[in-house]
Amino acid sequence: MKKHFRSKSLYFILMPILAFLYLSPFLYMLLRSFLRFDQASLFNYSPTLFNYETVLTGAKFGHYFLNSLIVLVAVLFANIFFSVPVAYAFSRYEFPFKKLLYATVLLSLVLPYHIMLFPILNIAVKTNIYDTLFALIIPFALNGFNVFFLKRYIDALPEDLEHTARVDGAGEFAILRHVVFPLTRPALAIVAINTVITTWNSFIFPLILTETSKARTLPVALSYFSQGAYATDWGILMAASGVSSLPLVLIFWFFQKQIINGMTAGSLKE
Amino acid sequence: MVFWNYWDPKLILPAIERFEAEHPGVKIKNEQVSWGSALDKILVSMANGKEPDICEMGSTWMGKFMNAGVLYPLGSADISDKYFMSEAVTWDDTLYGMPWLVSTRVLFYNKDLLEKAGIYSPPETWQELLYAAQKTNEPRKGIFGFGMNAGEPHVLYKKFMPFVWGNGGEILDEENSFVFNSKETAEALDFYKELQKYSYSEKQDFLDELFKRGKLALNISGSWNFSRYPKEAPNLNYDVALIPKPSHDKGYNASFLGGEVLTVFKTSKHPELAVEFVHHMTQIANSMPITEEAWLNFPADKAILNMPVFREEPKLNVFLKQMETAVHPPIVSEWVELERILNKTVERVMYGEELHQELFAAEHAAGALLNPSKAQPLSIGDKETALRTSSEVALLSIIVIFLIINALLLYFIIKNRPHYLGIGKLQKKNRILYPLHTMIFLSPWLIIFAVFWFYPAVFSFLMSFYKYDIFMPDLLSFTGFSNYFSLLKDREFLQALFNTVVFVGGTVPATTLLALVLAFMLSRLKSAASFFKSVFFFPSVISIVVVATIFKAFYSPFGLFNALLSIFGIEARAWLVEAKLALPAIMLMNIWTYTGYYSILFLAAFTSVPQELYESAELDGAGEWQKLRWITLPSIMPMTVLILIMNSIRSWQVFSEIFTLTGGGPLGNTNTIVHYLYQVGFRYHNMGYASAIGYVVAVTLMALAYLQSRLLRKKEALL
Repeated sequence: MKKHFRSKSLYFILMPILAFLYLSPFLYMLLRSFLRFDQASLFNYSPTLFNYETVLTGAKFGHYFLNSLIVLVAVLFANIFFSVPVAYAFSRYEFPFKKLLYATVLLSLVLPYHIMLFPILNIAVKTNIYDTLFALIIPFALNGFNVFFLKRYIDALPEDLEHTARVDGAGEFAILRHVVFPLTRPALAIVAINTVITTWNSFIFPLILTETSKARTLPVALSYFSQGAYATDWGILMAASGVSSLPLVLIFWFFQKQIINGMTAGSLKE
Repeated sequence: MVFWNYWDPKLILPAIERFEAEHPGVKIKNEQVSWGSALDKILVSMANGKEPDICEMGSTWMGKFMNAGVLYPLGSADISDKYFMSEAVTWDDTLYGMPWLVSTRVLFYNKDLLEKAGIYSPPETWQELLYAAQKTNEPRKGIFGFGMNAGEPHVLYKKFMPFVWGNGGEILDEENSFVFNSKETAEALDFYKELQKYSYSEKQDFLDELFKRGKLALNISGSWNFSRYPKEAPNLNYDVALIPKPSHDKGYNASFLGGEVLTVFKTSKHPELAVEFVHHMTQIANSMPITEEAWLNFPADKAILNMPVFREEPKLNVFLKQMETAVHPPIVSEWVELERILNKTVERVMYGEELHQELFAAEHAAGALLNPSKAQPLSIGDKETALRTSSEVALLSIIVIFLIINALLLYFIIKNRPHYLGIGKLQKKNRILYPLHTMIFLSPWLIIFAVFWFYPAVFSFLMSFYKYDIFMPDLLSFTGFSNYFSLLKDREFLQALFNTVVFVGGTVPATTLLALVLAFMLSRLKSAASFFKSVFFFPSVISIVVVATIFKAFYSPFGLFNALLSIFGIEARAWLVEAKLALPAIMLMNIWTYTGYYSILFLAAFTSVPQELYESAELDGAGEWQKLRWITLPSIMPMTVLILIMNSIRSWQVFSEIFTLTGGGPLGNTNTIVHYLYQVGFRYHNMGYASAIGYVVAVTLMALAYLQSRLLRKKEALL
């Protein structure tokens, strides 16, 4: 009886309060983004679409959105496609300098990106991809965290299936495709969501690696709306923030079952 | 030709079109750069030969750029009669740019509040200002006398220096010697401290907001308010006046003068044409659209003094008058560093440090900066200022020991237990050798990774042994370990390290524990679980910059956070400004942001626990708690290790939150290592030193990650 009461209180009191705490800043952002001036308080609410109009009509919004989308899709698929073989090789194969090579993967995880901005721009200029969408795709087609994460995951998978496949005459590519890929799907869900979040919100690299509006992405374009060096127009800032996060929110909302199920479907055993 | 500026293209393009019409065949590519990240972008571009032809610059950056000789000279004409800020573009009697837009600060006063206190004319002297602030200050009613800037690294000195200048004080004398430590400055600081008693301390835009709401009687601010106050607060009865002078028979009404200038880079292929374009853009007809858009600043052409738009509007007229006596900060190559010294001094005095001691410290720091060769070795008295209390010495030694232990641990891992970091494999049997497949599978990594990440990593590692100034690439010099050694003596670095340790120590355990509890609760839900899961996952989907922006509004004096606390009778605080509150406030935001994400990861691990274990435990009569303790926790240990490592990497490198919310202030209390690295590299242009910091961050993180996996696995083995 007592237990029953406890779980009920969990349902009706604790969870809604926590959920409200979690949503309130976003509700605030949403409400605020429809207000033109600060004198209209939340108690005397008179919404207007002015801020959204300013943000959405502010020069080539559709173009930037498309750029962001192209980069997102390309980087996402490249990461899913490339990181599994890399992680698999690090996990299962033996080759010279393996530890050293893998240490560089770890190094890329723990090194602050700021000190790499100069050399990265340098390479982008030298390889002629500066100020094109390729500059935002190729360097990010593989990411240290994803390799690290997948390698750990594959380490924990039993090797028996691969051995069986090998005994049955399957080649390494077939094993990768028909054994390893399906087994890593839960981890790939995490890799995917991480990649989507970081790519979509990436700001400093697109800022440095592009120059003209040709290859500009949404976060860089929207940063101009917060440029108030002296006075902040919170309404426009909140509208711009809302617009930039909306696509991800929608993606997450529609695919949440797949994402969370994908993540929770498999196991992360040693 | 490429033109970088910070304005809405619709304000710039008509002027460009006119120029293109006058010069057939010329094409100007207008590129808007965001103000906040402009300098970073210019520096990175310069280092790679990708600078624009024509570039808008902040007038205070000019010393650095002119001294470095990267700008194209525009001639040697004296333009001081025709333009404001002519000193900002002149170097060795040569012109390196044209003043474009100029702004200054005046005193805004609320007429109603002053009249209620029996004051019918604006304060003209320091004494009158103090009196007015004292009379109008009623904190209990939420009304404050004077608006004092705080918590913003680049604004503080602009608000304080007028009092020094007005009192006859200077930052540098004509020989560029530091003369800030003077009687005049001390008087101004004394006065400012007195004024602080009747002041509200916040960031500038919050002060402007407070003034708009009629809660602030006196506020030093700029013309940008004219674009907002009439529309947003039509009933506000206010006016502007010159910034008060020391007394009726002494000093003058000084203010801060600054703005935007247009320059041509030496690398431009058509410098003559670019210069022509600069002259074209600085015509009043072409800069007025920017002024009229938001009244942020005025055309820098002195002809505006006779323009009816400015003359006949009384409030703007005050600005014109103020501009005549306003002072531009000194144009020296070391201005950014000087500005830091000034801000630090004023900030420390305002937060209660002893005035003369701080001025003395400022003089010492500036002396070392301006005359590095003549810098005196520290006397015993100075040493006491450098390491004032024994607790700081203790802290220093703890950090040194901490670093040494980390280095030893790192050596130990790589030597003996590489698999803790995922290096190497646990099972040594079944060695698989497929050289061809290895090559193919690794090829994407070998190419992309090596080119775009490994090379930069090595580059910056080598850089950490050099002294490398972006502005002085010719002076590149090998300095061995001196960057690393100076880190140990760098008090700002040690403070940043300490703050980061506090940040990591506070957020990582809290986030992980709360995520575990939340995951446990979520796992017990039967319906609506996916709704709640999405809700808690939500914050991590959104860019941390956006989250920080929301929280900035949240933590503002009139924000939701204070409103919520007031329900429980807790009085409003300036969360991001008070010295002891800022870091915890950011930590709280951080915990809030990431708990949900990690709880979903924990949830993923929960589902992997074999159900049979629970069933057999239930048969043995285990309760909920025992099942959690003896089955769930041990089973999810690999995930816990992963979450701790991810969490530590993120917290140890915390940057965006700090950058957006506080910029490292107040008093450097929220400066973290990576934020300090950013400042060193991109504000003080010392990439070598920044790289050394970067590698300290990396090595410490490796050790931290190792320590966590080792500690937790040991426990796992015991269970």
